[in-house]
Amino acid sequence: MSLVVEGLSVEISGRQIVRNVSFQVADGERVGLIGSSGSGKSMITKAILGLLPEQATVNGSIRLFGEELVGIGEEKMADLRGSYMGAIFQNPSDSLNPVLTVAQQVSLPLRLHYRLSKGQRQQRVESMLDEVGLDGHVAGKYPSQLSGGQQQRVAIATALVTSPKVIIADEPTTALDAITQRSIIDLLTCLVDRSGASLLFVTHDFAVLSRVCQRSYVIDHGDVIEGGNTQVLLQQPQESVTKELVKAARTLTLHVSNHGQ
Amino acid sequence: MWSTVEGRFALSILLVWVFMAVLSLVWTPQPLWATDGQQVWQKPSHNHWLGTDGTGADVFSWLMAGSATNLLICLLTVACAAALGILLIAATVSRSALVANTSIVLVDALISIPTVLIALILAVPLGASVVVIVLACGLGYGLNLARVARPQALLAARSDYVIAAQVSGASAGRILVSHILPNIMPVVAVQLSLSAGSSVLAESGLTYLGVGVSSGVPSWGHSLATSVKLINVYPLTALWPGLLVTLVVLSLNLFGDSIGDAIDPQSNSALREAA
Amino acid sequence: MSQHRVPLLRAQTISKFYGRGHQRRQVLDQVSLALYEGSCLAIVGGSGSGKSTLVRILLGLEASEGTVTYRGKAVEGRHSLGYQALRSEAGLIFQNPFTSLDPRWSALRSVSEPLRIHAKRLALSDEQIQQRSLAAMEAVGLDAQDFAGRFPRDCSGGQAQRIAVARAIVTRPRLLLADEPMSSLDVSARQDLIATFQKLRQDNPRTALILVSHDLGVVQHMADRILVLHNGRVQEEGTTNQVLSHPTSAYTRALLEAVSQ
Repeated sequence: MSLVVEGLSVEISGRQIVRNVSFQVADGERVGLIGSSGSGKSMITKAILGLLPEQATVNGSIRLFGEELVGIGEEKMADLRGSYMGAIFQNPSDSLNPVLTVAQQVSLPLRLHYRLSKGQRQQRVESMLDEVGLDGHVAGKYPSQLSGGQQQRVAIATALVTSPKVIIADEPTTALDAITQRSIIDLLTCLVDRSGASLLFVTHDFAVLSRVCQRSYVIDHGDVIEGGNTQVLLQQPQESVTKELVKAARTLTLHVSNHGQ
Repeated sequence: MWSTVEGRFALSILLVWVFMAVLSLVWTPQPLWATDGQQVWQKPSHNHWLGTDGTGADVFSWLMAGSATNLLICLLTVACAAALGILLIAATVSRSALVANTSIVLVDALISIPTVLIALILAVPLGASVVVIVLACGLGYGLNLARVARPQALLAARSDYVIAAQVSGASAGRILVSHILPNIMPVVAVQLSLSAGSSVLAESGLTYLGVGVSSGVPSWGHSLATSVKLINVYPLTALWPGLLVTLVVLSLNLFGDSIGDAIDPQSNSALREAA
Repeated sequence: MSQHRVPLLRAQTISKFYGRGHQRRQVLDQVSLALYEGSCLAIVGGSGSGKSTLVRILLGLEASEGTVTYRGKAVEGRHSLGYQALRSEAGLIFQNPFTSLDPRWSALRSVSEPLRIHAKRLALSDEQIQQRSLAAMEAVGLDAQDFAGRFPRDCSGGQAQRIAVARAIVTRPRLLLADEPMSSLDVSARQDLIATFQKLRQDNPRTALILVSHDLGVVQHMADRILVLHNGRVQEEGTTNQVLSHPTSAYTRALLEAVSQ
């Protein structure tokens, strides 16, 4: 098992945001967390990444390849974050440092976690940018000079450059338009599979989830209310919250008779 | 703002200040001009609570009378700074690019002139007086206010809710008063209370330099200036006004911090619930 | 049917450039459109297509080459008749309710502001303003008593967007412009807001709506006509059915491809 979460609870200033959540991600598996905004799904990923605000109290257990992450301290956590875990967030213009060029941004995790020569680092960054479909002349640009889709590609390159074993993606395509959204999702799943890593994918949209994840958990009010094969959840949702999410996704999917012949 | 220790402390000190200033207009423990050549540089006693100075005048009475002058300077300076600062901010967010750019250049150019220099220049035609302090500080702090509040004012001016107001047909003045000023109020309040503190310090400094309040007018700067010459021999006499100035400046700064929190619904849940 | 009437809003050969010298780039190229009373036109395009600029030009907030007319009167400059008419008859809804509502204003104050601006001209008393504002909040499906005193940050994204919609409709506008009103909301909230818009259109059959969106899933439920914008050019225009089932431009086909399962 890459990632095992057991009885995870998060409380922030007296408010229970995550309640007794348990799930697991097998090696090389792509698992989804789905819920509407405010359901606490992002708090779960923050707890895993050790990025919760200081006043938060975390109970339960999060194990990464058998190693307990709850209460290990910021220094060790920071080390694990870069080398074993990679993270991609919703808004690339927020998550990329505006004063770093694309090449500097992507090489940052390498500098922090590996002792590589300048040449080796440069080579790794170039091949990573190539993998996410960005050509060489982007390397010297700043985030503000890129489109939203290009920015998210840079964020993916930054998350994957250290070849992490677990990748956590929190609504990585929500801010993008439909065409870009599709290409980013396909790129992410393809790269994750190629590197053999596992993926924890957070979204509010079943339409996206069904394309990315074999298995999913539905989160509501900080609770896992349902889980299982994504297709089964889509076909036979049991809980009313799941039914609502499936219905919304179906309504908002395009229904046209005969397009593009 | 009463809810925090800092807020309570600051507010108490400031209230005592205002009370003393008002009281000094009608009563002081000893008459100000009751000097006694036999009783100079006295230690604190029953008659002279904080001792006497080099002319034998009662230190406590002079500090009390000075608090009125300093309060006046403080209020006038803040009023000047607020008026100038808000005028400049209004120009900065103007829809006319010419007005906006002119105000920005003007602020950036004038802000580089030190307040002391302005005071020295003003003292040439005006002589040493309260007006010099108020004008010099008001100008300097007003420019500072415009500069510090500029980014937030521009952010508010370019926000979607201002566009929404424009689309609804709101006039520029209405947008300034109802959207932009309230949104920069925390910054303005903090900046103005810092200015109030600085004006107390500036009064002491400028009076010491001889361009502040004219000699004979009681003020904390005056008390400091007359006692500081013999600080090696009679440290206590210079300590009192120094301590007072420090205490008041500290309170004004703490007051600024708490008022910033108190009027900001983002950080004040009580205010949100009250509305 | 509506083609014989005078359009409520018409834009003819709108072109817009940003920057100067060799940095000059064209964001809109000869865009024309017509909007009739009671209809809903969707302007569909990805990020960088120029759609948001077009909205600003239509509202007279930005100058451009070409002409915009409202009820046959030119919208050019703050003193033109068209601009004045637009000001009292248009409502605007933004993508992000948290930036389009003043964070220091309660919901009731935000919603009632457009009425208070015109209180003298419309001869409205404070009581009438309050009543109409509360009614507007009810019309968008908010419990007015509960929400009147709430600040944006005490609301979910969907609730805050409803407040923004209430503000836009409180003056009973003849023209509503919604710039990506759904894209910051999760799917359930999107679905609810679509229903709200449908109800609003039923209740106010003469109000015309311009919906700017990249999401064809949303557009199919709301628009009568679609105008596809890409790189500042109109790619195609037609009825919703026509465009979705028989797209003529390559860009539209790519867009449809991206959202199909």
